[in-house]
Amino acid sequence: MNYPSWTIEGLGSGWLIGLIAITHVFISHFAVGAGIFVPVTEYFARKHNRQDVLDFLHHHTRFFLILTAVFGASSGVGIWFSISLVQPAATASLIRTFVFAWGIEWMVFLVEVTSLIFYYYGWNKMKPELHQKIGWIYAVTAYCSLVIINGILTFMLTPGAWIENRSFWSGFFNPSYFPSLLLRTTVTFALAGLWGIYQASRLDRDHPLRTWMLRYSSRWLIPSYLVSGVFLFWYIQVIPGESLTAMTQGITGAGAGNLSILTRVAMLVGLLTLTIAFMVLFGPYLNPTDFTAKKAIWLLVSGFIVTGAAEWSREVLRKPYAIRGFMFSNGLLAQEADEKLKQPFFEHARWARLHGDVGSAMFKTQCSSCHTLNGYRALTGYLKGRDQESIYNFLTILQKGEENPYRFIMPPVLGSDDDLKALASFLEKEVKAVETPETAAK
Amino acid sequence: MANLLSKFEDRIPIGPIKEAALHKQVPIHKHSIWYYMGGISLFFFLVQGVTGVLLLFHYQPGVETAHASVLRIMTNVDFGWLIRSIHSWAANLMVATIFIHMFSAYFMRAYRAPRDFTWYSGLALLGLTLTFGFTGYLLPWDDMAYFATKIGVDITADTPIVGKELAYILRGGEDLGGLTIQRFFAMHVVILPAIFSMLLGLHLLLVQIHGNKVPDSIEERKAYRKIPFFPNFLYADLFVWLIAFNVLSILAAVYPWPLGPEADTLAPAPKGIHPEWYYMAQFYVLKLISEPIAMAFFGLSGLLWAAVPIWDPTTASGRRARLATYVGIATLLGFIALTLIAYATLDAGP
Repeated sequence: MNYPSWTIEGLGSGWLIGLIAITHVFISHFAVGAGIFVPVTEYFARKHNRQDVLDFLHHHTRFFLILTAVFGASSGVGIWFSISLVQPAATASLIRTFVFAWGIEWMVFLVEVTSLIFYYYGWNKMKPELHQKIGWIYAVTAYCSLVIINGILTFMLTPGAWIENRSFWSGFFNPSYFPSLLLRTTVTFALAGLWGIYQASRLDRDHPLRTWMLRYSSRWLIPSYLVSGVFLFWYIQVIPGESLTAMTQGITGAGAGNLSILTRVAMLVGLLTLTIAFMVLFGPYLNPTDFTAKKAIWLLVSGFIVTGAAEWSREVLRKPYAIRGFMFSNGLLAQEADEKLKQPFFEHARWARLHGDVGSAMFKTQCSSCHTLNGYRALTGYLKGRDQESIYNFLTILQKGEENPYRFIMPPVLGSDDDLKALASFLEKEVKAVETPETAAK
Repeated sequence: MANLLSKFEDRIPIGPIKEAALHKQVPIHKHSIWYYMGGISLFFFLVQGVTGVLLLFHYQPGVETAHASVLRIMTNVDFGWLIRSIHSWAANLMVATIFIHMFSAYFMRAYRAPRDFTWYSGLALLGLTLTFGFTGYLLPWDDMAYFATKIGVDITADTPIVGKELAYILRGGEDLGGLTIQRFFAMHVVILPAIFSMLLGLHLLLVQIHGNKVPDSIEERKAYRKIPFFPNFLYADLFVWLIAFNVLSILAAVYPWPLGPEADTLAPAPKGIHPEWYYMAQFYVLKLISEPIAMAFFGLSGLLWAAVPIWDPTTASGRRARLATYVGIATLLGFIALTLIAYATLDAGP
């Protein structure tokens, strides 16, 4: 291990990143979608001389500015903090590989936020043409953010030829880059529509613009539903076969110990996406007069759950890797896993403070990026009823290469026989502590 | 097309139904959220019907086959686990929404004439729903289902006068076995759905005739507006159904309904055996007091609850209305508190 490990009991380190990242994705995709929604609507309003629509947009931009530039930006920084603490090796690798892209992204983000601030404070102060131009600048830069980040996100699942040639361009324009970009683009339109619906639902019931705006915002979901299926199909064609198997293996069983949860959550993405379409149809589109802000919040909650479930599924699809074929989810390099599989683990560790407890250190360095002891994906739950020998036997299975049935879900466990025994002993103590808490208390 | 519709109309005249739907008005005010509860209950019932039929294609009643067939549904049938999970979760959500629907109708005083028959039919539907739950719970024939049902039927046997005979009929003998599964299955998939559907039709008809009750305080201030049932409230209802569907999907997918080990009739009852959550309050009371007294208490309090249209008619003084409110609050809080205590003391034993 090259970095200090940071474990979070209960929630699990993965979920810490997950919660911040899902919130960020929800807001940032809205930022991209609304970045197009607002100037396009402004263009329409100016063309048709609709002052009421311009007034609404002015109000909407304020909300949009606060949400994206404050919560969006701070949650984005939050991702950096959390991934560098939880997944330092993978983060370092992404920075090394894509330093140029990150640099451009920061520049683009700066222009994006600056143009948004000018756009908001320029309402009714700038010449309409100039204001409109700044709106377009915002739209382009916000979309550029997605264009760049999408390359890095998709790289982690499908690094493609980068594995052999280590070329920036091979990694960036990897096999799933374009289907993912197009899919996310449709999502940004849908989220722009949902937030537009929410804002319009807050207008007074008798406001003359209310019905028009609710229906107009609803229509922004149409592109998403028309074409996202095609892009999803394309995406499924390019993801690795093992990932697809992992996603479908829960169809005939929902048991613990496999990745059936991936099937279940992926299925939820589809179901909830479909219900959002009907909710928009029966709510703001067909029944705008009786559509309230409380109902709009349900739509946003549904959108948030779909975003969260989709992002979670995408993350889990990578299992057992953080960067497919290159680095495992616990930060170990795939190449090193072959070379040093049964060697004493901590001999190669550049950062290890064992304090004599090898088992605990093994857990922290090799297990805790995905598992907790008693919380999320609790090892005391999975290993319930097993003694040290049984746990040790299980750990040896994880070193059996092609014969290891868990190789598509979990990284191999590295370490000598003594390391495995120490880990098994540590885990047995933890399992027994849960089974007989009074013994542990003594 | 118009010609085709006209021919259809000649044979099945839907005009009056359409007319009624167009004229029906639904009051909208700050408490109108409670009006959706009946619709959500209906939605869950429809889900039960669809998923129940799908399960019927694979489920095989019988001591040797019940558990094995459910296990096969869970592990070998594509999306079988999902259908069973939805069926089980929807059953629980249906009970929960009917309870909410009942309490909201109670506190809105929707039981008063002319809606008293709506109240009675609603209570009968709740009773049938609980019986649905009781009969369905046994069908997987796992250890929890077996022992919880055994306790339930034993309690039934303590009902004064008819208890023993009723328990014998339910079991199909002295002990729970193949005939019990067969009888519970027959009740669950044939008898109860038939009675429930007819009663539901009556309930919906009464709701259609008498309309939604506006709470007195809102009626006095006229602090409400009316919207047409068709299409406005129907769209709103469908919107809420979709939310209910989302909640159901999330629960069914993230927390798939488990299946315990096959029931071993010779083994001692495992620790922590308990019925479904909606029987837990009664289950706890039965731990505290002797069964005949408890059964008499349940019977009398149930009767008192059902008879609220009689003991709280519209009066000038409003004294009885206040009493009914206190009874309602005490019942609601008592039910919640006893259920929570029952779960908290589950492992402590009787």
